[in-house]
Amino acid sequence: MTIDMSQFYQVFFEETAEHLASMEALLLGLDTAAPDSEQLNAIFRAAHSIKGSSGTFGFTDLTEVTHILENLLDRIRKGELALRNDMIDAFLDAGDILKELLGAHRGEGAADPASVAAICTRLKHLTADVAVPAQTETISPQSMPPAATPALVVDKADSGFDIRYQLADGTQALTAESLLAELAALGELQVLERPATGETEGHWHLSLQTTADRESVVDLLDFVVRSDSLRVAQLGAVNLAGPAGDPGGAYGFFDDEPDVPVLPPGSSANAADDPGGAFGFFTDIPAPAEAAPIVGAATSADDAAGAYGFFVELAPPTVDPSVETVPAPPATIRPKQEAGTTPAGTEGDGFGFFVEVPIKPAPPVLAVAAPPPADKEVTKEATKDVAAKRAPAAVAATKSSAENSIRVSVEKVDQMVNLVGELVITQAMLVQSATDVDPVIFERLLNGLTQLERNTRDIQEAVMSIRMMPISVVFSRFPRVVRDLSQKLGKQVELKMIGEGTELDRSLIERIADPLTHLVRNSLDHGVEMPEDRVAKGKAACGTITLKAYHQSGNIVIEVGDDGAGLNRSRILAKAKERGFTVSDAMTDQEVWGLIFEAGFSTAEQITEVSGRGVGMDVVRRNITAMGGRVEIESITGFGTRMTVRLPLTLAILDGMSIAVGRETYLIPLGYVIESLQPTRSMIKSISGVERLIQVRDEYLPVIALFEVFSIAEAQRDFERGIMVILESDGTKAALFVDAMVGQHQVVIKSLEANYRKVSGISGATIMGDGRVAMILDVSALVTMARSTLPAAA
Amino acid sequence: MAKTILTVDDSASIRQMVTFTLKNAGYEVVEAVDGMDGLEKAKSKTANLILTDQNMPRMDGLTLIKSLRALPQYKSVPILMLTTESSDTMKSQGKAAGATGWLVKPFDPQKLLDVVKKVIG
Repeated sequence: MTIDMSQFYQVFFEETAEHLASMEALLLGLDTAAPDSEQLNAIFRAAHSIKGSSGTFGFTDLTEVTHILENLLDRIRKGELALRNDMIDAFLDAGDILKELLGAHRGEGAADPASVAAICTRLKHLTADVAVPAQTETISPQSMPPAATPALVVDKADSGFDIRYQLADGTQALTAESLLAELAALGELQVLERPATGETEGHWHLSLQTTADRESVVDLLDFVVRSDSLRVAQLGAVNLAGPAGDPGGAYGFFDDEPDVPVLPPGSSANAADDPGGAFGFFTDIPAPAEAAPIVGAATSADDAAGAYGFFVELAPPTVDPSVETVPAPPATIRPKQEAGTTPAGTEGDGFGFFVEVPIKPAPPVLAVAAPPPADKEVTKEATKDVAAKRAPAAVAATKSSAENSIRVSVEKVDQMVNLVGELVITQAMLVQSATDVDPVIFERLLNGLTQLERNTRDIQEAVMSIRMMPISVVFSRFPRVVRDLSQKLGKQVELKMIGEGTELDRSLIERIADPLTHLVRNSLDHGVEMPEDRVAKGKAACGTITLKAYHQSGNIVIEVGDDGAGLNRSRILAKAKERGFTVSDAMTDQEVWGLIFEAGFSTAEQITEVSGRGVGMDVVRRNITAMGGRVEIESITGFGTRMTVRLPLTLAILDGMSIAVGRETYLIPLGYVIESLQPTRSMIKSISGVERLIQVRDEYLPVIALFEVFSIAEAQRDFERGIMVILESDGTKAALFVDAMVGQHQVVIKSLEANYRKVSGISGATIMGDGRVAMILDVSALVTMARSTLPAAA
Repeated sequence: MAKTILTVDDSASIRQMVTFTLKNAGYEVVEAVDGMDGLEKAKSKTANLILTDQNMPRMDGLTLIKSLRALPQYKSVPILMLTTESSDTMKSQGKAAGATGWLVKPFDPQKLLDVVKKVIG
């Protein structure tokens, strides 16, 4: 049976991305001085999971990096190494590299092989907890003789290892080279045999003189090379054991093939399979490996089996005649087995059994005993005849669902949202057409319509809620942003996040991320002061940036606050004058702060790479406004600044106030409407003989006469006979003069640009219940228009 | 009746692959996302074979194996550990916990199937 593994990739990608994200979040939350062991475990598990599944699905580059990462994490987790800040940096960078690699596999961009190799080396050195040895640079694998002395004899018998392996299928050349570099970092490395340049398939034979223990050597190789091909023998031992070329022979599991490691891939597996037919049930395979001086989990047949073997209760050591047990000194242990009974075959496969296994064919009993080396337990191999499978208890099939959520493509949800939009319109049209029917005759029809209205509203809410996502999706990037940036700037900043569970529409989530990031960076760069300045001002050296999200009357409000220097009124005014803006000292703080959102304005004394050249803030405001939202600033010099972003919950549906002008109907997004009133003659003030202002309580507001803006004939021109709708946008108020208020509606927004073209003063359109198209007013544009057309004296 | 295999792994991709492979081969497959979930599912339906990961949140593989072995209906049901770790320590721990055997990750579907067939046919 061949299975197309690519069908599992999508789940793997998503899962790995989730692991990487949670790993990053956990790392950022880690207290370096006193790391929480649960958190460390969770980080370790994430790396471990990625390693396991990437290996399974053949993404060896991810496997390699996570393997090294996991080793380091494991040592920290076990308390062998103390967690340091540079480690967290390395972990975070490794996470970035892994994301790149993952992206490359998904077909998004490409990973830089050099940075992959660099992070591996960095992690490796952290794991070894040593300074980077010079060898790393000077010993280049390529510079080594491809085939040096085959009969390598090392003087210091125990000072190094003879290493043979084949790389896992599909390993990239880069991996092969970085592996050599890593080994070289441990000591003096000689490459005795290697595949042709550029090739990765074939045999590697290395000699490594090192003081490192075999664990660390095997750790390096484990998982990167084929476990059934790895032989790591102590140099001295190899000499004792015989020809250096046959370290694998020391195990005796593959009698027929004394030179197992040089078998082409596949043939060793075949060899394994044959005896496997007889099933050996073996048996503490790893034991002989331990007994032998040869190192490495994958070294012995059993390890070859490292992966596969059956552990059974130990049989008496010498019971089996079919196995020749050799009570030899560790260096020469070579348990021999007859080909026919050799269990090694099964072992090469990567699994094993500890205990009695109900295996169908009854195999012959096989036992191999190895004498205990000085410091090792006695290890024995035994196989047992095993009874036929036990009859499992019959069980009623109650299938439990492992999942309680499903993944649906965004397109499908969007399509549903659109369809619901149409449904809402159709329903509104029905209601409209039914207004004239006789309620007595059509009672059931009207009842049905009422029911339909309720159902439509419910389904609309339900569908919209599918697209709702918690703001934490956006917030989760900020710990990293703040950490990286504050390090770069030399500032100390603590990030507080409140209300991460607040939900908003997915389309908004995507679009708010960039503006919000800009606000946070801006707070960090311009708001929070350097630690010494803060201390001088009597503040804590560590600044605080607070991100807060909450719902408020149909809006979502996101605040970005800092306890930094606050905005400097006089500096902003000076800068504004310098930039040629029209300003006056009489401007309110609110208006002054608003200046920083003007294009081309920047108060930074020096342009920093962080916040750029001031091109950001105006873009931030524009983007937020385009979403139907607004941004406000509150600031107290010396105490901090708070930027407040208000957004509608969704972009697709709008709560609007419909108004009539002549025969036209317009919609005003409800969020802008403060009040409406019928003006009296005394409220209307004139400028230069033109009635252009209205006095509402103590304020003078410019009047926007809609019939003028859109040149509508037959409209009410007498202010006293119409309605003034007071609007507020960006902290600026204006009065919109209309004929009449019609009502309040929830409407589905249709883009005017997509269907027609952009019209100044109009932000979109919708279809009303009677089937007519109504324009949605672009209130902020109208208010700006009113302010600018006002005579300067105002 | 198709034999039931319980696969316990916190990795959705591995679960998906294991389930697909085994279902294709005609086994009934029950998935569990961690040791705790595995124990619940094992109780609600007795499996003929259990494949479990070691490193999982909430309850790891070894604890699961020990807990299962304490249940009368799981005294002798084969349990295989699917693990990336093939160290002797792991093996002796697995053996002590009562595992039947182990299969090292990464493995390919064919190998998984071979091993499963060897154990339960």
